Amino acid sequence: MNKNGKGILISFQKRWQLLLWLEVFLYAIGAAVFTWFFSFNLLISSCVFVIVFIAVTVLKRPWKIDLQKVTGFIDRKCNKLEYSSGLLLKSTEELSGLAKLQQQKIAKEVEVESKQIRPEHKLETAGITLVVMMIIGFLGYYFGLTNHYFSKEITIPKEEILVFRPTDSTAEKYKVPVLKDQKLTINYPLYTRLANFTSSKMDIKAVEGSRITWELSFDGEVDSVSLESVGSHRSLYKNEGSYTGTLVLESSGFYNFRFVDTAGVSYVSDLYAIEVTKDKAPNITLEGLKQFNSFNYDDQKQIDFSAFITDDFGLANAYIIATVSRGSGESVKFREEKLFFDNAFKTGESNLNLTKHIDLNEMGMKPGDELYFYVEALDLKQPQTNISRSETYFAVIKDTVDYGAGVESGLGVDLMPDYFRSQRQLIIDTEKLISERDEISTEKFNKNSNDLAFDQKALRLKYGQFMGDEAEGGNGAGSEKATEDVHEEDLLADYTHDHDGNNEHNLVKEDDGHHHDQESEAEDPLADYLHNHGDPESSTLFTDNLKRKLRKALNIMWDAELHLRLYEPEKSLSFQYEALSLIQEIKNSARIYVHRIGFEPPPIKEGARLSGDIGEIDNYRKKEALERTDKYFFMRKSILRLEELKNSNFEISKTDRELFEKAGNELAEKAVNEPGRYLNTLQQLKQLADIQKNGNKFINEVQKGLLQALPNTSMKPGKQSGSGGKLNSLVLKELELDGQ
Amino acid sequence: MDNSLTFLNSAWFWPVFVCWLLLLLVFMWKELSQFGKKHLYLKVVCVFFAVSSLALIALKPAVFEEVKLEKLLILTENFKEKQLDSLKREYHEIEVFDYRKQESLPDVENVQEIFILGNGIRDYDLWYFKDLSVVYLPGEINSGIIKLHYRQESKPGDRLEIKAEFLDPGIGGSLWLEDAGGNKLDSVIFASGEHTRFKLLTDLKTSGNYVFNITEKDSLGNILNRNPLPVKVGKEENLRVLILNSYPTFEIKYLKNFLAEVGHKLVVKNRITTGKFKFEFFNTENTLLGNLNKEVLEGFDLIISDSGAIRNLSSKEKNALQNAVRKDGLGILVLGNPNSLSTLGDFSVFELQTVATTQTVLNGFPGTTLERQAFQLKPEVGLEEIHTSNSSVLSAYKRLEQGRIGTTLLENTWQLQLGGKHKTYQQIWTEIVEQLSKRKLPIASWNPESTLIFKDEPFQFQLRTLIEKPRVLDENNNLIPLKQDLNNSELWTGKTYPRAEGWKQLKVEQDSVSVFNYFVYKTRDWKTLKAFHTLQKNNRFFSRKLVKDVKERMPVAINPLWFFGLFLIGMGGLWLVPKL
Repeated sequence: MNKNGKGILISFQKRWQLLLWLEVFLYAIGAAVFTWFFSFNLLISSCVFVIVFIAVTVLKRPWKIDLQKVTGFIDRKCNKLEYSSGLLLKSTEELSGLAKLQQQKIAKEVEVESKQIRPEHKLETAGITLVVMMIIGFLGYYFGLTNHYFSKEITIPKEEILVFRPTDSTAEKYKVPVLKDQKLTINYPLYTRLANFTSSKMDIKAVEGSRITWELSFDGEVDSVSLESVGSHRSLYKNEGSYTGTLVLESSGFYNFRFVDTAGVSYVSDLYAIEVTKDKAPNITLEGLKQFNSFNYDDQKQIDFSAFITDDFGLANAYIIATVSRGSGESVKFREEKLFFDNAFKTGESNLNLTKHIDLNEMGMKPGDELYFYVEALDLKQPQTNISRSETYFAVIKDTVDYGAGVESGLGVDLMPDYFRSQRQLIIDTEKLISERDEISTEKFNKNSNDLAFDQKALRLKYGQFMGDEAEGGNGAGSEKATEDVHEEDLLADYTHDHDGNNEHNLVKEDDGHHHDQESEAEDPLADYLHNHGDPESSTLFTDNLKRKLRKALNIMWDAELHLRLYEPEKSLSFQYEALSLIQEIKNSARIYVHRIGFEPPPIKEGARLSGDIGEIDNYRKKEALERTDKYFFMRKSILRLEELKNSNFEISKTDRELFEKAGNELAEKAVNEPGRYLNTLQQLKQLADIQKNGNKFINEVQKGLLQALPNTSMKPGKQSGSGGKLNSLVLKELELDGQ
Repeated sequence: MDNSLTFLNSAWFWPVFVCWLLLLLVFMWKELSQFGKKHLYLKVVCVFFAVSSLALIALKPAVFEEVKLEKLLILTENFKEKQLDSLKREYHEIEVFDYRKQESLPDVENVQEIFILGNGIRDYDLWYFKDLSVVYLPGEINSGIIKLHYRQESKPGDRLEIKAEFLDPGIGGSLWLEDAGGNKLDSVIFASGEHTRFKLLTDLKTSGNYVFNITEKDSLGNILNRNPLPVKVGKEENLRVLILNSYPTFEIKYLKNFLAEVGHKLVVKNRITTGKFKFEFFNTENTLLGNLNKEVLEGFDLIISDSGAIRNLSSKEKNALQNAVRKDGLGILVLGNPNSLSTLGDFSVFELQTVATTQTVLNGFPGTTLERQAFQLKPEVGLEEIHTSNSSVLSAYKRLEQGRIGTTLLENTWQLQLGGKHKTYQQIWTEIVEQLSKRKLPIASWNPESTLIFKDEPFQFQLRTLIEKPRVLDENNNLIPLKQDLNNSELWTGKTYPRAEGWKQLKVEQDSVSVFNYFVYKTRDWKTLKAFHTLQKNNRFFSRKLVKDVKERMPVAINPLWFFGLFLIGMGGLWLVPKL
């Protein structure tokens, strides 16, 4: 019971405190909102909030509300409690009997009364104050009363305010219209997705194609306002009391404002820079890729790479342009394909990391084919997009037949016998046989394999002949003699592919092994052991090294033939390729010997030079003015004039001003590329040219800027001054006499 | 003792004697006539004394005495206190004069010995001390630039090279060269605090009289002092060049383009074949160029020719050419095969020596390898070098009276142009062409005695001119008196006292073109440099030690008061005698 009563008191105390805190808060927020309307500055408002909060807290002291105060307050408010609510705070044990009774009674009462009694507070006053302050603030803002305090000064920093100076110093006596407001809006091109930008600063730095809008309003009547840019002049239009003009940015430059007041006096502002930044083309970097990739026929013919593409304002598209070339010389064929990256492409992204997997087999490429590809990326620029492309990358599947093309060009005629090519034909036939395995009967397969083996043998024998050692090869196939004999005629006719050039040019005599054996032995038994250079027929065509290679090739052909005989064309194939590549090497090394014929001019007869018939030759006269005009003539003159002005008290005359204006034009031409760098000097020159302004420091600054802008002069021989005089010439004469 | 009496105003002896005699006679006659013979002898004695004493006052009798001469101590800038103290201790009554206060010097003639302490006496006051016994005790020079050398007159495109010496720079301090507008052009940073020699370089951009600045900063970048550096950048004057060629070469082609592009007036006569020529006129009028004669040659400052073209000249033309060189100062540059240099008759002035190499690096052009012919010019008297490589002379000229004839053994320099080394190419040919070309002979040439000219200090200059009686005016048209040299009638000297700082002007009245610009420094400019100059001058001037004879006897005038007393006694006697 007791606890219950005390609990009620505590909750009453908390309620009271809360209300007081709320009151404090309302006052503080009211003051903060009020100041916000006057300053529009969050910092000031928060400061005011904190100050007021602390001040009111100190006044109200919500923490001072303790249970004693609560009981006192309740007792005062409610007579029923008979000023005894304090008993509830004490424990039952401490109290006397009567007190216990009273305590119990009061506890009940308190429970009822506490709901009716409201803690003392002035929340209404606080609320009303808040509302009133907000209304006053808002009205002040709405009717522009607040403008006098902060807002204007903060919108246009002092250094950014346009300063107009009269071009004629006598104008000072009139009342000069004052610039009230200045605004510069830059609308960036849509594709850049940059928000519009409004500023009071008149120097412009924006992307090409941005639209610039100026808005100037004056306090007082102005006749006309115009904008002067390098060489051009455009008027600003009056629009609801202010003068506006727009311009689409194309190139860097300078501009200034000029206005004429009603009295006809004109005023110019400082010079401001327009710096146009170009939208850059996308930048592409490919990674994980070599410039040249070559694959063997049995490699995994796959290319993986990733591309990092970046752009300043977002990309429109990116893809790969791939070209496959097949064949060579006149029969070359190209096929172009546009490939897309594996990742999904998001338009408008400015940083992309894309990957691509290219399978050359999928692209239908065969040995000898070449793939050229590059990545192309487009950005969003309007109306003309920027396109950039990466370097071109190459992927080649090595042709097993033709390589070393570089050597070929040295020789117009292919001097090698054509039957060297039949190894290639054998490979093709073997591959064909393997692919047909399932379709034909085993018998036929075996027969074909055997036939190919015979061809291989024939080829081997012919190479052997070419080397001059037919005996070895001829005897090698003793076991199959019977077979060979049986099929001799048809086999050769059907399968040796004579038309393909086994021996089209009859470079090697076609004959039967045995027969030849006997003949050669009969003719010259020593032939095998001699190097008879005198007889071209018996000489070997190759050097020792080549001979070794050819011997190796013949041995490999042996293996190839063996596997064919064993009906294992798959195994044979690798030997055939090896043999082929060796034969190619031999072929190419033979091609290095090229006749080179240079041009040898006939010797010049020195005596006959310049002694020809010159009857029709006439004197020739030519006149030319090569001297370059000095691009900085007036700048130089200005520098000198400024130096003179600096050290004297001369007034700047009219001719001086004309000079400075011309110097300004020269500088502006130079400054177009780097407007920011020379802007200050240009402004100062303009001030010197237009208005009466001097002072040593100012002149010094202009001179400094001009000197800095002036490029170094190249060296030039000039006339030196010497010293004349009688004495001098006398001495020179004497010296010479002495010398002799 | 007789010898020892003299009259200081001995020149007046006879007039005074006559007066004395007349006065004496008048007084005698008066005494004799007025007062009988009483006390006459007394009166006569009085009269004699009075009149004689008057005469002696006028004649100033003097007695030779052994005078004890005084010593004088002159204090100038930066003297050492210690030296002053010890001198004062030695000579208690020494007279001290402070030169720094810019008062006029005391009479130094009769001083036995003079001590000068500090930086010394300024140049223009040194003559006071000629043949006097002076002990010069140099003071200490403060840190700063003590030597400064640069070409005061240049032309645009030239390189301004300032060589200087800095005494005791602070560690980390720096020196900045700034142009007229204050742009920093070059700098030196003193890593160690030792005495340093350094060079500051810049290319001159535009013509006119400018004041550059040399600013000294400490290691923190605070400006310690700033001294003006006047630079005169003259106007470029175009040359008139004739190129003769017996056959076209690349060298000539590129040289021709270079000279024409920088604006020189160029006439090129190129032989195409026997008797046929190609004439080219750059930046000049198309004129008829027949044989070379006096009139044609007068129009040129330089002839560039190969030896073949010179050989092909007729003897009349050769004579005309020789005369133009000797009398008018025309320059000839002979190019081509060195072997033929000795076959040019009067124009063969060079002797050659063979060398093995055909590649060279010129002095002053490090890092640039040039082709050269396998010869070098033999060094001899009269050979003026233009380009050298180590000790071998590659381009040079010789004087032929007024003119110059030169050659170069450099070959294929046009490859520099192709290699993009335009600057080197331009520098090489600029040096050659400039050295050989006809000189401009000014009517008046000016020669300042010193380049350090200060406000309110005398500025002495020399003027060489053929004008008979030149009249020199300053910028305010004040006439400056000139003194003609005794031996050389063309040489004049003058002295002026510039009253304000900055650029000032001297001009010859008879010739408005002959203007001389000079720069007057403020008194506080270049303090250390000035101090060092003065110190060196004083050191040289006072190197001979003269000691005056201490026992010298000087005629010392007898105090005239004595004679005045005598006169009073005489007069008093005359007044008193009648009363007796």
